[in-house]
Amino acid sequence: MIQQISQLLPELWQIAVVLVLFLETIGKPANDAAKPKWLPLAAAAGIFVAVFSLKADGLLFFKAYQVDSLSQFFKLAVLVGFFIVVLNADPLPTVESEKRSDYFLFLALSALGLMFLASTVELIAVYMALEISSYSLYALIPLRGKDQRAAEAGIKYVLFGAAATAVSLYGLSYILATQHSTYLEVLAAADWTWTHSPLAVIGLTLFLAGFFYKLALFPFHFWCPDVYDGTGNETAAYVATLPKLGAVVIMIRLVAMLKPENGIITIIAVLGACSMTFGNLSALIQKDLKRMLGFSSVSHAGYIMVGLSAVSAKGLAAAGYYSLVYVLMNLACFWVICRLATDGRNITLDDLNGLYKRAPGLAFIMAVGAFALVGLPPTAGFMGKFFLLTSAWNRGHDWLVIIACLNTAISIYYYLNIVRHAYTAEAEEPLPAPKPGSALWGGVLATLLLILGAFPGPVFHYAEVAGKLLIP
Amino acid sequence: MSMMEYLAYAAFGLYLFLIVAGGLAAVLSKNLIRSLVGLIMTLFGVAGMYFLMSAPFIALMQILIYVGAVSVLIFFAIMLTRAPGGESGIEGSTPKALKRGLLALATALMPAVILGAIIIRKTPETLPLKPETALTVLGEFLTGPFALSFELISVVLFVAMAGAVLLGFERRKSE
Repeated sequence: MIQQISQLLPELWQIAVVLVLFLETIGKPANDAAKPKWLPLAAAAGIFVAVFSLKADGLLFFKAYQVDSLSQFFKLAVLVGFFIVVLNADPLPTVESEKRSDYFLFLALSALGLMFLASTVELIAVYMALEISSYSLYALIPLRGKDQRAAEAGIKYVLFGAAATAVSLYGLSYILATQHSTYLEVLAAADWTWTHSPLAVIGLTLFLAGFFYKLALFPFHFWCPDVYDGTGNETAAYVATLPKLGAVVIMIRLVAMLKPENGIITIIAVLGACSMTFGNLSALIQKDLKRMLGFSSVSHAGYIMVGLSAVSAKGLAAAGYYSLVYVLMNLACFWVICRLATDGRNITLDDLNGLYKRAPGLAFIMAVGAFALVGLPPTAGFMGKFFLLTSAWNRGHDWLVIIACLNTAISIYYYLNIVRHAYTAEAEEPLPAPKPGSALWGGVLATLLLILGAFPGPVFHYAEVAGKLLIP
Repeated sequence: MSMMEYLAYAAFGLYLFLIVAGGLAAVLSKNLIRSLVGLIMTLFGVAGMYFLMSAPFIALMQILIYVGAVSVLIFFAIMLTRAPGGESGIEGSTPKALKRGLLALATALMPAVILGAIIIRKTPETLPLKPETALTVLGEFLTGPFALSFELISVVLFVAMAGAVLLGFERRKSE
């Protein structure tokens, strides 16, 4: 019993955070404007709890809940992201003050769902964990004052999400009908070839569609730019980053069951290629930064597929590592966006003009984030892409690696355009300077990106150990 | 085929008709109440399917919860918010609407045809199941292998309700 509790420490910590937030939402006086001051500290403590339980290992709840290196890696990533998002949502200009504890309650619940998602190895529990994180976001996205665009974004996210979930559940019914189990342990031993069980292959592909939706992979990407555009900057910072971690961890577990020559892997590779190309080409013409980052996340979902299509321990580790780096670099960019948008408006490229004079710290963070998103050394983005491409080479999808390289070349244009606006263009009218000290935590993110780029070894090695557990 | 099998196919056809017709009524009707009645028809059809699959407990739960509780709740929601109608935003049958309808039809039919063809060509073997799963077995499943999912459902419901409260209050304030 004690041992089981010690295996669940990160989740239990997050549940405690959720409970305290819930009590605050129902117990606080009506016009309490303060945001919970203890929350950043609690989130930081959560990171320590997750680091402490990195080595935890076990199979709980009737073998439906696997605590292993992979799950602990992703839980740590989720908690780090949650900490940054909580710090990032500090002024929260577009949410009414009496709704702020609710806002954080749903953020915490969504992160909790993602942590469950990292560990569940039974498809119905996987679905439930995914729904916990999605439902919280359905409530969060329309919260942007009285902005019409936010309501539109919320409706789009709910409707498309419901459709994707329906497809996913339909696929689950096929899996259940042909393989007679929802436990990954049993499914891993089952036959997934097209000739023997075509229905199971269709079922798994449809089931994956729900996760393609979360990842914003082509052709399930259409919600992504609109939702980022419509919802508040702080919410977009969360929606753009952490849910992808949950989708990636499940895809890693599912892909590990398949053989490299399986048809589903080809589908994943083709969708990845389409996603990269489409995302990058659409991002070229965007003026709104959040929209641009939306299309950029569509293309990054494609890059992650490169690692998955390798179906090797190294490929899975590369996908895991890249998703962590992806979260950090996007949070770095969103950090700057949220600091610049003091009144919660959307930021365009022109708002960045002359940033190096007004706020040199923020300009530097933006530059590091953009360089990392392109994949230029010495940032972590370069190492992440390097691991992805090398792991996929000679694994039967060489064309995908070539397409990924070409796409990186395309993406240089619009990412460096951000840097160009921040460093070389001058502002026509003087824009207000952000608050001093606003670059602090963004600076930490930028430093993390540089450190992970210079010394990727320890983290990648840990991810590789996790990958080897799935594909020896 | 024996008599029973014919009857089973007939029942299957009837329930299928109820589900599809109810679904079409729910989507196509311009009146919100009629849509809801269509939805209820679909739910009855699904309950019938459960009976056919010899899962009477699930079927009764379907009727009790969905037809009984959820639909009534939706009725109340419609009643308390605005008059039934939903006349706004309806487009006439212009050529553009026709084209859109055809595209929607094609989109809906494509997966159905592909999946249907594959199912007909490669029908999975039917498993010889016991005529009826006892309630105790069902309970053991929910508290045994599926205990985690069972518990997670309660979290999902909590999130859904709290989210509805959060958004509902917002709407009332902004009016």
